[in-house]
Amino acid sequence: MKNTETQERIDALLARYVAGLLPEPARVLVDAHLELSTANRGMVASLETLAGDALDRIEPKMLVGADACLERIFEAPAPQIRLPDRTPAKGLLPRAIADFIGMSEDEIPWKTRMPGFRDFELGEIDGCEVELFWIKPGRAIPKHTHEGMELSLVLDGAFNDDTGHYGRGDISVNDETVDHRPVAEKFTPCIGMAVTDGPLRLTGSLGQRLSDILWA
Amino acid sequence: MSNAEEFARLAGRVANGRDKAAFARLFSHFAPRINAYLQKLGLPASQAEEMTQDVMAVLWHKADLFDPAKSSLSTWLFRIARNRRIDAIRRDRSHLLDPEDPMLQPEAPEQADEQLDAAERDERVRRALTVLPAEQAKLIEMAFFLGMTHTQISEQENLPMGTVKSRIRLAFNRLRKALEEEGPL
Repeated sequence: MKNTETQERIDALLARYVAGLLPEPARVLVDAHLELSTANRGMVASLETLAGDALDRIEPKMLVGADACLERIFEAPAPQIRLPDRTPAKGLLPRAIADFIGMSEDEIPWKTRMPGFRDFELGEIDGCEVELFWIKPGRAIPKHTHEGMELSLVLDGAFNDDTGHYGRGDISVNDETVDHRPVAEKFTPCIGMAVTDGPLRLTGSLGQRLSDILWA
Repeated sequence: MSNAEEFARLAGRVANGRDKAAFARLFSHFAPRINAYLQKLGLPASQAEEMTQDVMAVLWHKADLFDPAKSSLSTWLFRIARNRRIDAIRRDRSHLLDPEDPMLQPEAPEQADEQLDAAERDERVRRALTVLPAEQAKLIEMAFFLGMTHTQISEQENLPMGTVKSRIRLAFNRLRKALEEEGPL
């Protein structure tokens, strides 16, 4: 069972996801989590139901040009429809991540950073640092703390750290107060996606950092 | 007939008969609400109206994609408005006509009994929300509907952070309990 603080942070993450106010890489990470894991699908669906109810109850604000708007809708040609591709993702990468990085698993240009640890840095996107990581079975990542907040999603294998066990589809949340020492489980490399607050104190399109969002 | 049923019926007439009168009724209810929602999230009035038009145009042209067994019309429109706003920020229109949510795209195709569960789940969480103390319900709604951070809520409501956190935690726990009550969803 996750500790209370982790649960609160995941709740804050899901709430912002439902509201549509996460930085893009964090939104992709939650999308991928929902694709891989059933754990929070019911909660997300519930919050969306309640958000729909809230929309129904909101104090309405009349459109200045309501009649003209209605006319334009009737007269305009149907918008181009591009329905989402529903074929299940093949292989390791959930569709949300494959679409986001624009490549398949075999195309990932891993770089070895230290023995038993590879990564692929996507750089800073919407105020967040984004990377995929690969940890050799049984390998411990040296202790590191984060500046700001870090979200990780396990895509394959599993790791354990002070806060618990994380397998495919699980999200781990860490902040700079956590002395974080993940150890990949035996037999299978642990592959995942990490989204961290950008180092430059730059903010993305929403003007907020993960730390603001998850400081629950 | 409840409001939700009436809206679903009108949406059906838009889908099947291109019924302008039915659409106009849905427009008069939902357009001002979507507009209010988008302005609450900080969009300037002119942009909010333009986006409201985009969202309602999806309903006019694609009402057949709305499935009342899966969600209420207001939830369906909420998702479209939310995704449209995300795409406007990203300058990417790829989500505009994706009224379905990623969570409805699990790895395995959705089973018919999952749809039955949706109605039951909605009823359970609505019941859970109505029995929440008002101050908890209000704060959790500020989080998932308006996307406010704990800090923003604490400032706006003039409440200590600890109070905000504990009320939201209690509210989430109640919702989670409601979801877990009768088997997995």
